[in-house]
Amino acid sequence: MSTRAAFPGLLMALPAALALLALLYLPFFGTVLLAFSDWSFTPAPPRFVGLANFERILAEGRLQGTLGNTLLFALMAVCGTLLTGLCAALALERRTVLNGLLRSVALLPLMSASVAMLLVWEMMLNPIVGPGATLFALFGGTPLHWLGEPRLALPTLAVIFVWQNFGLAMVLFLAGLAGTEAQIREAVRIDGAGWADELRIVRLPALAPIALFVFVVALIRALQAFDLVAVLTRGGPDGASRTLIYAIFEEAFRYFRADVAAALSLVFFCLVAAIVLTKVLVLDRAMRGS
Amino acid sequence: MAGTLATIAKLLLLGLVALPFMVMLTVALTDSGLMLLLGGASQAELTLTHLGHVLRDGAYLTYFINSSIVAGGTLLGQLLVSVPAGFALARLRLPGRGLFFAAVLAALVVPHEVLALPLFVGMSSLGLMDTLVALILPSIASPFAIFLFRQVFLTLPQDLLDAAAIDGIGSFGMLTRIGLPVAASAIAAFAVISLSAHWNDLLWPLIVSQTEASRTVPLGLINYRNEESGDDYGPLMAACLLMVAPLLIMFLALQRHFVRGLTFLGLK
Repeated sequence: MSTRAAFPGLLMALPAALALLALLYLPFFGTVLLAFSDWSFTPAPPRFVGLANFERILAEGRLQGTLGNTLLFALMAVCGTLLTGLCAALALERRTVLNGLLRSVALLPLMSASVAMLLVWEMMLNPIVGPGATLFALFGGTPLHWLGEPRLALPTLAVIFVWQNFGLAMVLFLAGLAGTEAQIREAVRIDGAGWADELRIVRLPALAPIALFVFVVALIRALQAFDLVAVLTRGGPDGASRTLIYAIFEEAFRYFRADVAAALSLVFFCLVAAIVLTKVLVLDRAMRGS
Repeated sequence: MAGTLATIAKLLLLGLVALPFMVMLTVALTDSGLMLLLGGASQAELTLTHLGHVLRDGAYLTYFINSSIVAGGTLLGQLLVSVPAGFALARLRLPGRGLFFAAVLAALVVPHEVLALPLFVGMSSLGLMDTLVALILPSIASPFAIFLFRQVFLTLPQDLLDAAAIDGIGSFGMLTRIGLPVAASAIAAFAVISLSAHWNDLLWPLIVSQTEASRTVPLGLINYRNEESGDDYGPLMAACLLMVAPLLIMFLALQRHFVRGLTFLGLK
């Protein structure tokens, strides 16, 4: 290998290296720089202000509220995705024609255009003309304003997130289930264990590392859920669904406070990086160890 | 017991998952679909009026073309940049390989939303705002794609490359004649994921597009929703259907690749 020239390798790697440098590393350091400066789309060059932007977002109480919304949404969305994804995987594990069809259906929400289907959800949840309203009227209740009620907005968004993402969890769980030894399950069954016992003794322990993995994937997707908020609530009502990812967008491109948006972006980056690093350190090591 | 539970879960799954699609189809393709769903009408006639209404609107065609160019251009750019880089990382002599690979791995951790603000500033200082180029360019740097194709090319048997070298085939020949056929199915899987992601993308077009000329389908739909206030959901649902349709067709045709692509998502 050493006799071969380095030229072709360098030539093939060069475009990617340049693209990463110009479109990823440079902007990333731009965000870091902006987070510690006082620049907001003005002609004047950025001035270093230390931690002032972070003090500002803390003092305004914006970060706390936003983080609270983000974590609450992530908790509901991720738990829902894990649970439904696991159930779907267990239900559709056997390869039958019907199950194959249902697996495809389960992936439709993930595949189909996000914004288009969000608009469908918005119509269905409309308290005046939406089909959801009629359902409530049938039982004599007043139609709920699913997206317009501060207490309901975030849980409603979480439900739609679960609808979009449980197919992904299902696919990942199915890949994991395929790894559980059929022979072990057979043996347990011969020993007289029922379906529930088999699930408890053999399969759930085997699924634990997969579940942790699906948890991380779903968590990062939940933190990045921008379309949901942008299309359905715009952070409202009254900031009740203002998540971190939406707050970054709002500060930068609605209020034009670039420095504040950059500070929030850095917080967001640290959150995601911490999750990914934890996953790499804990999960990948555990998987290699086993 | 197990059978009953499974059947219940399956029925719930089918009903809940498919419901929004059925509602969309009903409202988009019938004259009084919403009234039917609300119980205000006892029947609805199939009609193509709503679809026709959307298609006759020239703006929607522009959005469609824009979105196609953006999704296709992004994929092409990602492949042109990432496939050779993955091959070089996996198989060629490459000074600084360790550093480059570390840079790719570290870049995997950075969510693209964090980059939006400086990219916006960069694009506007280059005078690219409101152009399709600005919509495509930032997504071309894909550490995920580079990493993915490196993994794929690592599975190539070294004997094959050695034999090719003896036959006098150069590095580029190895990539196109040995590497690409092996990577074909990974490329297809990546393509399905990338196309649907960029067809659906909302955040970046929301920042970059300012006029009709560069508007993509998601932006067009939101605009349409905001402008056409009222209870006439037919045309809006027809527009949604037109946005979903290409993805559904691609999904049905390439489902195997899509499922494989989803398991890639976990690599991140």
